[in-house]
Amino acid sequence: MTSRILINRTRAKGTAWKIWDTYGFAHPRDIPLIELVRDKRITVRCGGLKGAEARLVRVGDSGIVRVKDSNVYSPRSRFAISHELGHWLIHSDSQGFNCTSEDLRDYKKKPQEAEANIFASHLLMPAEFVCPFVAARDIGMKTALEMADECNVSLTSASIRMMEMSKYECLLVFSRDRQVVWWVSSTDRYGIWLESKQRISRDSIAYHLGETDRGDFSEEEVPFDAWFLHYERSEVPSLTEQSRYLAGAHGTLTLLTLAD
Amino acid sequence: MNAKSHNSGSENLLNALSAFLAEEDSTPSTAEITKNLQRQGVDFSKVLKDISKNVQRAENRLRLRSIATEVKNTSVQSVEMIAGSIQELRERVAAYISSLGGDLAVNAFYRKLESADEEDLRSLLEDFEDLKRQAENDISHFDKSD
Repeated sequence: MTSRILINRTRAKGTAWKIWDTYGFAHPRDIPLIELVRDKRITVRCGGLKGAEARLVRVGDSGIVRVKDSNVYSPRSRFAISHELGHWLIHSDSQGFNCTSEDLRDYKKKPQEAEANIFASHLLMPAEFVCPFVAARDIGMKTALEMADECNVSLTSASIRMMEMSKYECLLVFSRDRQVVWWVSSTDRYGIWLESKQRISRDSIAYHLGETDRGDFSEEEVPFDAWFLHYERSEVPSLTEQSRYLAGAHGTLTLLTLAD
Repeated sequence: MNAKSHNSGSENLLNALSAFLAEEDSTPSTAEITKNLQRQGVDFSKVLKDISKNVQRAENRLRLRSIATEVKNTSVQSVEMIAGSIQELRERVAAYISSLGGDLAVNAFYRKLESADEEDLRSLLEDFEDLKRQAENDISHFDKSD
């Protein structure tokens, strides 16, 4: 019999909340992350990583976090550093973590990675800020972009956090050269999934996006089978799509929303 | 007013407030004041708790501000090249990892490193050596102050 380790979401969220309670930051953008991790006896370094997005090494009560990005203050690095801080605080019985970009968006599979992501997400985008922010707006890429700007995080991190708040089932898909690279879903309500390296359908908005960052954030209803090739229930939910080309990532980010 | 004098001013103010809340100089004591206020139907304890908490938070944020200068000078560094062949690097990294103990997480970490890139191994070795130096400094500092 294999034992299944569960994801302790409460502990991850509680650990992030404790940081906010300890320092009493006024706004998510005010978090001096590098100083915060230094206060926990962790030094941050950049570069020297090829096979991972971020790494944490612990010897005794001191540690070093290394990030791949050459700018430790970039939104991408901020999430990676927060993720490693999560490992440091929550998984104190482990001496090292080598985290890939896939690990940094895993909220479901590997318990330790998921807990570190939940921690990072709640540290950089706390519920006290995010809940009223999202409640006052429509769930969509425009809201995610505004949230990313307010919290100094990437559009991807903000979109995932926003999806968590949505009452609808949402999927975030990243594609490059009209092929799915990765996707994450907010729940498993409909049991839907995308194939690995699935080709982007002509019926989707993503297929027709040029290599430009400009987008009007318009939401369009698209055929369900434009994205989902495997669905066995007779009643098909309605599907809306928003897509945006990200020049920095050389790919397209798509938010799919399903509703009965 | 420069940032340094502003910082020390805030620090003095916080220290004075901390001392006041810790009842170092207060006469009558906070307990006596609280008791008197309670007699008149005013619950001062919650207010006092909130003030103490906010003072503690402000002290914590002030500590982060003083760390900022240190961080700018030291912690955000790029990789220094450590010499050695990839095989030597792997052996030295393995020696460090085994010295940390043999729990499952360390083993999993090590398995990932068996296929690690040379650059990753060099930076990892650099990190281990720095942490070791740091630990030795901490021990000698502890010995001196003991």
